[in-house]
Amino acid sequence: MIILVKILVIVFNSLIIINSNHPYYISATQVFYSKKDNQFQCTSRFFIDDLESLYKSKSDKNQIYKFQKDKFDIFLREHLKENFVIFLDDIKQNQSFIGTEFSNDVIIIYFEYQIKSNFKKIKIKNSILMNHINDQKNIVHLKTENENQSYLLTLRKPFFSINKKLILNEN
Amino acid sequence: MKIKFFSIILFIAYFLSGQTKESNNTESKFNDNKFKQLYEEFSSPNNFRTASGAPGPDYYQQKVDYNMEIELNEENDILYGKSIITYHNNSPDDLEYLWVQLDQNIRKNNSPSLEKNPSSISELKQIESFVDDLLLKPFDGGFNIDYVKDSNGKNLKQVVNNTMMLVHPSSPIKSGDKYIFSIKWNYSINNHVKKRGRSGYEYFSEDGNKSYVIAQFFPRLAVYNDVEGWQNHQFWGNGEFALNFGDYKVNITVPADHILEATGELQNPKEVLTKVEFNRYKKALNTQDEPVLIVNQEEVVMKEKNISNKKKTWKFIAKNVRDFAFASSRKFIWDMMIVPINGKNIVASSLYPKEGNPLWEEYSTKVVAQTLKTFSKYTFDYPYPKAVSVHAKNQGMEYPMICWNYGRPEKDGSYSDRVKYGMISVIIHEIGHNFFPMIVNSDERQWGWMDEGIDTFLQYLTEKEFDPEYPSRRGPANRIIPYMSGNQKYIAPIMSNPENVFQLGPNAYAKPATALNILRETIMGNELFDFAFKTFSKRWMFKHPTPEDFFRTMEDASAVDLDWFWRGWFYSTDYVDIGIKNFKRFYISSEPGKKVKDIFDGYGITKNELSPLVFMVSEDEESFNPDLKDGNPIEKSLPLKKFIDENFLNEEFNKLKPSNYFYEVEFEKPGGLVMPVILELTYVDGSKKIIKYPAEIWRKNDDSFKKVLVSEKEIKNLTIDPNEETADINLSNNNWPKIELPSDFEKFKSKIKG
Ligand SMILES: [Zn+2]
Repeated sequence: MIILVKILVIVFNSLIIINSNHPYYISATQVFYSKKDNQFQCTSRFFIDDLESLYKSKSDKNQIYKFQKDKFDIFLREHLKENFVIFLDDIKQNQSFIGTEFSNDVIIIYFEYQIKSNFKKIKIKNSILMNHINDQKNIVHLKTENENQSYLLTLRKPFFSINKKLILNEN
Repeated sequence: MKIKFFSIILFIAYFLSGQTKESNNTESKFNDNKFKQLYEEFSSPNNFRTASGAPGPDYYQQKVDYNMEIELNEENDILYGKSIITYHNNSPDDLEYLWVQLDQNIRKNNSPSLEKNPSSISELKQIESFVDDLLLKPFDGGFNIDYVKDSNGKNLKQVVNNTMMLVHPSSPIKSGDKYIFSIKWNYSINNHVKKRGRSGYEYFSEDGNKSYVIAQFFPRLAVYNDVEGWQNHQFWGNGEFALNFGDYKVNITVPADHILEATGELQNPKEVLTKVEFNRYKKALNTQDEPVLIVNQEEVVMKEKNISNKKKTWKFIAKNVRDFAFASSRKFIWDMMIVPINGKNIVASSLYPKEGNPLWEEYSTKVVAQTLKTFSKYTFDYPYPKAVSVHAKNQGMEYPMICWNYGRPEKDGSYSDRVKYGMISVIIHEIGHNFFPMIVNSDERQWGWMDEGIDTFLQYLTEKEFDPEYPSRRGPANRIIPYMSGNQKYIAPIMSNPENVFQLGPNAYAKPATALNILRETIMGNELFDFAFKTFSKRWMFKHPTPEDFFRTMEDASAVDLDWFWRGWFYSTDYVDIGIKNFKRFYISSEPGKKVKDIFDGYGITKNELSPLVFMVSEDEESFNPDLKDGNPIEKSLPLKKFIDENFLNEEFNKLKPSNYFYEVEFEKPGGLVMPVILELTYVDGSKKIIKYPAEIWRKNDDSFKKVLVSEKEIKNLTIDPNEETADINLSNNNWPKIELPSDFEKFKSKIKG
């Protein structure tokens, strides 16, 4: 038999999601705080078919659906902008989309934020896919050189906040 | 006195080898060496199974023949059947009872398998899944047993325990006897698309028709053998099947306009096919390379609209198979051709609804042919007369000579590479299952990896033969790294029951397939591996091997000690991480370095009191004399120079190309798995050399070891496992001098921005 059940191996934090008999809707995003570049460098992994089904639902019903990567990327860029948001001290940060690549059943999305170093509070929202798939769970790993914290986000609470000193061990 | 000085030198050398700081460890221990042989894990060899991994002189297996009349009622989705079963008791034991598997009972609405997983309320749910999961009662399927009778028509006592039925024969079945009895039964066919069954129908709302892929459809005898007694472990859904070989005669009655394929050879093509179809069928049996359409898409579209209310009976005979399955629908397009395998013509064919086109007409049958060729090459010539690939939505499932495969284009016929390669891979995989476990018939209920892992490994070799650039998901060593470096809480050893693992995909498929690939490419080499693997396949063809039979044969036929490999890769969840801890260059000197001098001082001796010695000093020593770096190294040690002058002619010595560069490299092993160390040296002139230290290098020290490198050229840098063939999960310690590896993010960004 071939196992069709989805298993997303999330490399960053060695967190592995287990299946049951029902498909599991899950994604993983690593947000790496690069202190030297003053950047948040983000890498998101989603199952292609989940994002494709969202894309299909938003595309013109009168036209026969055809997958085109450039159009798909434009669509993703918009969806990402709305649904993945980082606030520093309650100010929404500017997101720059870098691109996407496929790895078997998974699409990897790269994007980044140029930020100021003097902030106190981080809030991250990730509601990607949640309005389309209510069981969607998005995991966010907030990573620095020596710290790594993970948050499981769901439709009930698609965001988290944390004080900067807690992830940087600053006093 | 010379002797005394000699022992002092040995003593000093011992101290210098780094043992000085060790205190006397008095803690006793058991043998936990990673190279310890697997006597405790393996059961003792016996007359049924030999120590070399072959069937022994007393090996036996039961044979079960089935003679069945089946009818598919399309209107009500009910399957009716009557089986006459001939049970051959080849075991040395008299059997008081028989166990019969009722796999369909997993779909009874009170089946314990429905409750095998914990559940919790999700406060938000999509309407469709809410209705399916919480509002509606689960589908009520399962076998209805009309009777179990002996050959005299007398009812036999039977008791159903979930998916197993206990049958009491009229009297015990003596060793060597055969016993004939019959079962009449029926069950409601499920929609396999809804709950992801291995068997059932798909409903096509556009034209109102269904396609049936029917399996586990009749009560099947459980296996009785020397390893398990009765293998009557319940069917919970993940652990697949343990089945007996036997001969089948099966007549299947379906609507007259259906096209049907099944395990075994069709006995009455003239009766069930139209004249046109029959002529095409005969033509296909004489055609190679390009499949012949027996039923084409145009004809199928016509049939979808005018449904026949007549019936037809398709008759099949299959010899020496462990199971029987069939697919039936008026929606089926059918193509076929022959594949010669070592002089014998095998029939390759495909059945698919028009929804599978244009993908299916282009690839399916050709992929079947490729799979039979590659698998035959690595195992044995495919012994069955045919192999069929059937398109079923979301399914990938194998039976003897027939299998169900997914891969469906969009409505306009377009498809992505992902869909295309997904389809080709699943066809290779399921057709490949004919070899493992249909012919090399391992116990899937107990050991999911034995058929899935071995099949996935050969699937990888087939993909590469189909197209050297094939985007294989599983097989290459570095693909298993995310799994093996994952959270240990959710990883189980390969040697686990399929019901009890966290991630069946990596556990039973990807990791064993990768392990075998590493064994073939890196540990054993192709020639030794291929011979041993072929030996295993041939030994256990049409028999029931255990994992040990595999482990033992691979070693017995290759003279490669593999206990450490099975122990690490199959019995543990350890991973590979090998790195370079230190790398130092040494120079020849007439004078001892500081370390040696300190020891000399401690004993109150000078070098002049000892026989002539060569000293080696490293650059990082405090008292290092930079002059040692220039000129001919041999000239730096007077005793050495003298020795060479006295013992060699000058040009003779130069012909021996003496080494001028001396290094010591220290390796570390943060990972638990022992593996060979593959070291690539890069010289200053840019040339490279690979050195391979056997895995046994770790047998006395599991944490680290040092090696001396001598060369004629200066070494610039070192890399461990340069071709990523060992699944080393951490590459940051694989280079010297250490290099900062860019993150995936940085790599991708520089690729995009150029
Ligand atoms: Zn399989």
